[in-house]
Amino acid sequence: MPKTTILIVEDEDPIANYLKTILRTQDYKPIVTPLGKNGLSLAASHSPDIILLDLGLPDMDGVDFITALRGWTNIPVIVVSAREHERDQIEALDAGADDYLVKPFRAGELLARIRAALRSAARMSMDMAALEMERYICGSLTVDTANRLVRVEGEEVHLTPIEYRILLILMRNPGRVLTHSYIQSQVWGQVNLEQPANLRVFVSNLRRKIQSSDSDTPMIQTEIGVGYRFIDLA
Amino acid sequence: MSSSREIVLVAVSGSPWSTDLIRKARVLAESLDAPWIALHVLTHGRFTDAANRERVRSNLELAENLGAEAVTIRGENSAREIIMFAKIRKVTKIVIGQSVDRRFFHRDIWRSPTYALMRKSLGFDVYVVKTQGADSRVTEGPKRRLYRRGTSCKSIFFKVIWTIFCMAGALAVSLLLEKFGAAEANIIMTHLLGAFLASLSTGPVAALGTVFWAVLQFNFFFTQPRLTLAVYDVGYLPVFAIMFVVGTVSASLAARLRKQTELTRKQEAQTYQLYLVGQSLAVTKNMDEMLQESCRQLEQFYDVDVAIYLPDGNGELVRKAQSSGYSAEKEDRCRIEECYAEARPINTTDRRRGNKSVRYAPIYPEKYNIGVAVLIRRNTDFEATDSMRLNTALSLIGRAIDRERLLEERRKASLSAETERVRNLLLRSVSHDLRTPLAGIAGTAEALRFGYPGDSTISAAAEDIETEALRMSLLVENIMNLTRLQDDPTAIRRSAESGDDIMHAAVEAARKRYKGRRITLHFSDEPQIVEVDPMLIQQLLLNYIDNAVKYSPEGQPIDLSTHTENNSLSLIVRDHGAGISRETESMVFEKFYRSDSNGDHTRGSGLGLYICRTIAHAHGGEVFVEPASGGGSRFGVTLPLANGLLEIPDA
Repeated sequence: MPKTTILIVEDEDPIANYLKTILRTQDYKPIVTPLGKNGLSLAASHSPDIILLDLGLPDMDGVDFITALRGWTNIPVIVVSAREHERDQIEALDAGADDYLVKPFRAGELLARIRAALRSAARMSMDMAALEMERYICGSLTVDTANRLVRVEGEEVHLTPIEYRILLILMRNPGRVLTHSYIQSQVWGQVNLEQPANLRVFVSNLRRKIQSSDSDTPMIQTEIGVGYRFIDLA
Repeated sequence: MSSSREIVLVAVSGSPWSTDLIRKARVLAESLDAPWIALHVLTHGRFTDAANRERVRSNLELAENLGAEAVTIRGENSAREIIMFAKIRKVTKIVIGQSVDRRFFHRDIWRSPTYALMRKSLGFDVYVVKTQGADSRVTEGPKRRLYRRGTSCKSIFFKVIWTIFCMAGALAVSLLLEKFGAAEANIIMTHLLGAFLASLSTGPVAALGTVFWAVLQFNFFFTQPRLTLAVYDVGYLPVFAIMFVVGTVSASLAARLRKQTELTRKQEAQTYQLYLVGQSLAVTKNMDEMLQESCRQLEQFYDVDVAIYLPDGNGELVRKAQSSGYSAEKEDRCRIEECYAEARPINTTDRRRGNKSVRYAPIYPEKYNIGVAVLIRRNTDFEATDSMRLNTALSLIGRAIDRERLLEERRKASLSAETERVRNLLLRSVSHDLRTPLAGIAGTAEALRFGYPGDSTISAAAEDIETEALRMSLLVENIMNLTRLQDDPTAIRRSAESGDDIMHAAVEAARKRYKGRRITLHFSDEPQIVEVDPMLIQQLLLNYIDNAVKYSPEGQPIDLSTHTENNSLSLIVRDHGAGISRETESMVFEKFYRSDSNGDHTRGSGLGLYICRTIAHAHGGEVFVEPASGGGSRFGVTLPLANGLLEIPDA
């Protein structure tokens, strides 16, 4: 099996070196470029399995990079950005990025995200119908889509229709960050800008219902200011 | 404002009865459907203690709340200032209080402003409200007494009566003098005096007539043959001629004197108008208020509609203030710009404004032009004397604008000096706290380069580096947030967030950062919505957690919980440490405060909890710390709930 190729678009050498070192320890094959334009042509010529993209590039806007990339490929993109670019992260995610990391981040975190993105890409490349699974299982939580039954530790839990829809959207994308506006558009069919509080309350209620008593780790994780991520136990 | 309109003025002081006076004035004003003014004359020296000033302030505030226009002017003589103000503002009724105690004929009463006012008041009604005792409270409902004085515009009727009175007096005195055998010269002089007195209040033509009358009267009553206009003695003819000449000359002198007096009075009134403009501009609080006041004053004194244009940051002329009747026209723009560029007034007649005369006047305090005033004359055209007065008023306004700008700059300068001081303090504190972990990182890295004996030590060294670096990163995060909040507290990006989400995020981040620590999370209520910058509140919680990690033993858990009460959400971090003494509780949130009991001065910059407070305040919230039951401390933040943002559709 060929090595997994990872394209790093990053203009700061220390970070690029750091990323390269970590990726080599995991037997990934990193390709590094400091420029967005080179990044796009490298993505075309090497068809990497995943792209790590820094949002503060000198030659082009990170969001433009993603938009250009999404014109022809679904290669997973993980956005890496400094704290002061937190608004850009959301834009990048909405433009088609798969995940994001804020500097400074830990190596373990980065590798987990890469694995999750690769798995997700693998799922996507399978038959789309397979997405509509009959049953989702995550730890003590079981969702039976055919009978619309949700069980926590074997006990049936009653969810409202909206809570159920939110849960399904999250469970279909384990390990992936879903922005508030993405979830809103999936649940309500539109982004309700006037009432962003609603989604927060539905998720908070949902989390209380599905959380098993003995577990400290929440299944629905909060990406503050960005969105939610369903835990990826695999 | 038409001239027939009533305007009520009430004189306000710091005395206890002033509130009553204000209410009376309001009743009067309402019954007349008239606007009313509460005037306070700020005199120097007397009654300037703080309590009195406070009473004056609250009285004026009361008047304003009751619908009056509150005005404060400075002056030495209250009565004079009130009269001048009343004349200029065309006040028709003045309400003033007078204490009436047992010593009614106390000497001072005749010196009081009230009596001075009554003596001087011409042209308006003065209502004196009696109040009980200068020092006592108002004990019974004051009785209102009405004093009316004659009007200042002397009617023709008055003049005729006065002339007849003078001449009849002269006749009576002369008859008496003759009876007692006085010489004829006395009678002649008496008649001249009568004519002179009469001419004091009449015009020059009437004076001529009066003199003629005096000569005839003398002829009729006192020369042979009596009670006829015939004269036997030709020697009287030069007497008549001399009487006539002397009378005419003295009468015309008297008339000129009176004219001069009137002119002086008018000039005084004009000077006083300017003085009032200056005064009212001196008591305004800020630029906008000052400009608005300027417009009001110009409108009042010169019967014009006004707008003031000043250049903004880009040099574009912007309308900053205007009187209520002003409406802008397209043509104004280029004339205003021309006026501003060339610093000279432009006078036109505006067809669009019903052929009213319009003047674009530069506001030109000294040396350079700072803006343009557009003045639209309401009724008549501008006169030459108007232009001079207007220029003086405008230069006063210009100086006031200059002064406001300087004040503004000084405020900014002192603010930036304070900011600079805090920055320096911050920099000193931070550089110390950065140096310590940096030394650790550099040292450990160097040791690693030279080679460690075993694998386990390498991983321990790497962990040291990691810990130190993360501590630095928390510090840098805090400094960034602090500078952002201090630069502009309104710049925080609020969104509707659930308290649950923020707590979860903080706990997830903390668990990654402090591995091995047990951090528990407990929600007591329904999910609640707050409108906050979630990153900042997370930072606040992380600072609390960091603090709890530092000040409690390794094996002890850290418990996070929420609590809803009184429309606010509390997020609480509880540690199981030694706790904080009551005395230091109030200090822990201060800038650069560090606990001494710990003895470890190298940890923490004393910034963490201070930033917590800054963040809480920026969100309209508050921080608190209290001892927890069973030991340890509870650090918390309360945030106002925003559940109003919630609109649950059919779930």
